[in-house]
Amino acid sequence: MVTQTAQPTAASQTAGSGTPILETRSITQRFGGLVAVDSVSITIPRGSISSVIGPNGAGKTTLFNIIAGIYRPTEGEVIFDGEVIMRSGGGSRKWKRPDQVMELGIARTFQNIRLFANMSALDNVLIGMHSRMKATPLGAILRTPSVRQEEREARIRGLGLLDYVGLGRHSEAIAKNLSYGDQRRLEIARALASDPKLLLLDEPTAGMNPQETAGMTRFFDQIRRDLDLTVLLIEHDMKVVMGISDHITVLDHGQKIAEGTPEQVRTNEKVIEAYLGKDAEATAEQLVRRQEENTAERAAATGAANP
Amino acid sequence: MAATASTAPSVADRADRWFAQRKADDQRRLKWVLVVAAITAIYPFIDSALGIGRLGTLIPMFVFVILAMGLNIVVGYAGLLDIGYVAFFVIGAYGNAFLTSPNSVFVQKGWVPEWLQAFWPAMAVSWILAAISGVIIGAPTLRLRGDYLAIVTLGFGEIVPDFYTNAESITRGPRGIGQIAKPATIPGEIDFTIPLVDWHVNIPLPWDAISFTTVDQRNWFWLILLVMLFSLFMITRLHDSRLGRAWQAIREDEVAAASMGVNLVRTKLWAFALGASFSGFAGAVYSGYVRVVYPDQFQFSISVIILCMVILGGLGNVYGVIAGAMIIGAFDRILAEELSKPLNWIGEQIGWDALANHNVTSDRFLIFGVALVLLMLLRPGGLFPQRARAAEMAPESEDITAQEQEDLADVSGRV
Repeated sequence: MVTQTAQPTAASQTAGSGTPILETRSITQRFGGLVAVDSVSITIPRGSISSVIGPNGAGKTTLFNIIAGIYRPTEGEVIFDGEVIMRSGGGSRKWKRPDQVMELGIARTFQNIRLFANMSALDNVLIGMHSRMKATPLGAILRTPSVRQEEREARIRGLGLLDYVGLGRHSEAIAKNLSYGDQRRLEIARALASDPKLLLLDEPTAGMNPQETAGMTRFFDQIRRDLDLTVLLIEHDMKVVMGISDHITVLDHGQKIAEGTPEQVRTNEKVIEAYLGKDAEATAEQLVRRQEENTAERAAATGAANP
Repeated sequence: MAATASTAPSVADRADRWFAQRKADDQRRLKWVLVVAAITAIYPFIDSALGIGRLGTLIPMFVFVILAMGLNIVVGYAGLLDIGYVAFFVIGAYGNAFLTSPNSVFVQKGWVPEWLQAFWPAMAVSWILAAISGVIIGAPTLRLRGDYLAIVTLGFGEIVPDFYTNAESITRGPRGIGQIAKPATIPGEIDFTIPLVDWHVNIPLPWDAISFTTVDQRNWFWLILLVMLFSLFMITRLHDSRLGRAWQAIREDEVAAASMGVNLVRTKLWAFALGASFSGFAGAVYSGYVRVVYPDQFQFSISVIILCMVILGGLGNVYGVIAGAMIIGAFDRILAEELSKPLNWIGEQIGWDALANHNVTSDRFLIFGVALVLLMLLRPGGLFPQRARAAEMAPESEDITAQEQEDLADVSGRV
């Protein structure tokens, strides 16, 4: 297993720098007969930029949604910052709602941008801070000094975040009127607003050209360094993550087929088959073989799942 | 943020400028509200001077304005389609009746303390009762969205009045509960005697005794105007708050809101509770004014009319909703009636009996329906749409241009 991550940062030293920030233990998610995620265990080192990659339909987003509390996994455990936050399948079950997951310190973005389209950019960021604010309805009606103070601080912080992602001059713009790239950035600012320990980014460069993609990936590295957090990326395009990831997990058909450093993953045969089989060199033979193998794997998987 | 390049105005300055702007906006709106309220407050004098005699019509209209403001929280702010809002109106109105009427079983059994058997404390309790009923009725609907939520709330809107009809031992069924307390007379002087020294003190106040009887319609008019202003104040404050923002977020995208840390259960229940609470106000004032409640007053059509008021005025814009409620109320209670006269006159002139005896009030639901269809086709955001709602309804093409412009600016600016 690979743990040669980035230099330990200030925060990671405070809270047990040895323990990984996130761990999933044999997570399985079934939707009826379909096994979307099949007993996947991943470990995300603290302070790293890690990636989960895999072809379309590999179960990446499902895994993300489990971590974010949107799905209850059929089986398995999710451990965040040394604490079991979800447990399914036998024994004591445990589950957190998405807002509780956010409160614990896991923030996310969405594959297909899900901003609050008709709210201003700043209001979007302020929603990200919602769980960190305390104003009660009564306090809001009376507009007490503490509520005013909190609201002012939140706005200042929100504007700072918008400046940070380069949207400072658009703070009052309605989110849906922003350009595509700016919407992606706003989603990240909104996620950062909760001051997360772990940032989940679901295909953040989807729909971007190579230049924009390069700019975005540099930006992730900057976030990781400036804000002292761990970044977990989902990508189906392997090239995007190779340059910046410390640690990569490869999923295919719901199963983990490889993990390690970019170098290890790049040279892994299974990965090449799953992925580069699609490339120009791939002969029809290779494709056929891959399909056969996949069918066999799936048969084995369903066999293992229903003994 | 440490990495932020310090641009000319600091973030604190920009935030403060925003607050200054909001304050200016609030003051401008407050000025308008006060002007309109002042003009409205003078109306009773005009009414009696000109012998119009419409105070008795306006007071129930104002009750509906409060109801519409409350429903606007649920439907307009939080986007939860509630088409059984009359349920809360019933609960608020009966709340006052249960606490203050000598007909009420609760009073007869001596369960209601003496001090509570008066209008003002009963109104406060009705407010809380309605809020609690909002939570109770809201809780089972939390997992539902859109159409399904509407159907369940529709069910509650039928169940609650039916319950009040059939639970005769508590509600006296269709006979209803009468002799509901009206607000105590506000004295025109302070008059008391200090014991021991036996000094008689009499301080005249700058008004005559204010009593709330059926002959004193004016005082009711002013009372309900005050309740309206108070409700408006609370609702605007709620809208511009952390909670108001969360409502808007769940209206836009529930999954995203939850993922960004908004507790859906709590936020929705607050919407139901606060939305319902204003119907507690409205119900208490209404029952105190008419002094008798019976289940037939609370029919399904009331839910629909209130929803129409909210939609006509502009979902989410409380001022629009007030205007919508006044327009529909005026049409329903005044215009339809007035319209009959010229029509009947024409009918008489041309000798068409059907027209001569026709009463337009019986057509009002037909006219409502047609008006609502036209409104949805021509102005789907309502007459005075909220900014965000207007954006939702705006044609997509505008956004594409906006995005294209943005892209162009990006290309020329950065590279």
